[in-house]
Amino acid sequence: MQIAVREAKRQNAAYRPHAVKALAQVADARRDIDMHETVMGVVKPLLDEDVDSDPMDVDKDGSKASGAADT
Amino acid sequence: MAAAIEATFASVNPNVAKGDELRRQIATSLSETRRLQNPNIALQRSVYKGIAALFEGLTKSDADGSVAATTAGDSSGGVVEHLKEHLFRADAGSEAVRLLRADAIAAVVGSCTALAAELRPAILSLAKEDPSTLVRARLSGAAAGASTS
Repeated sequence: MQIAVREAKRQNAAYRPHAVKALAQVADARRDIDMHETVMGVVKPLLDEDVDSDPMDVDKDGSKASGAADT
Repeated sequence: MAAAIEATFASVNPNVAKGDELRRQIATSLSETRRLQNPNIALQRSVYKGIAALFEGLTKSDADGSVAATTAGDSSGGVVEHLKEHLFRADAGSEAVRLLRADAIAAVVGSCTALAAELRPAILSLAKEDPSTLVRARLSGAAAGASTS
């Protein structure tokens, strides 16, 4: 569980969705413990980010951007 | 973001959390996911699947009727109001998404008699308005379940 939480907190934008999905699977599988506060601690900043962000000022994939500039 | 929504709903565990704590966790999950501005289809799918899985889990774990008591005792209206905002919003999108929404409604109705009674008028209204026969059939089934449960 600690590993899933640690990985989900990583900042790499390409990696994070997979890590958060894995955290969701761990939370779903572990019916013997209460993971709500832990998961919310990871997920809430992501939801806040989405609520506050302007999608027009984010360029997530640098390789595509540089590829477009080359052409 | 869809993964974050999945994790939010998956983290509510009715096997461990009970009573007020369970109600607070459900309300928190619903309110946090409701804050998303203009959710796309993938997010809507995650929300409806998450709600369906959550309330199916509640039904399964509710051998002693405590979960039904938890949601029925929701006098502050937190869970019910959030559910209404999620499930009866006007811009539900494609038929596939509306089918997922109908499944989520059926799961909610199946979990608690009081909740079912409260949501029944809105479900019937939604069933009347939907252009898809498949969605209308599922919603009507949920409404029928609400009246008999």
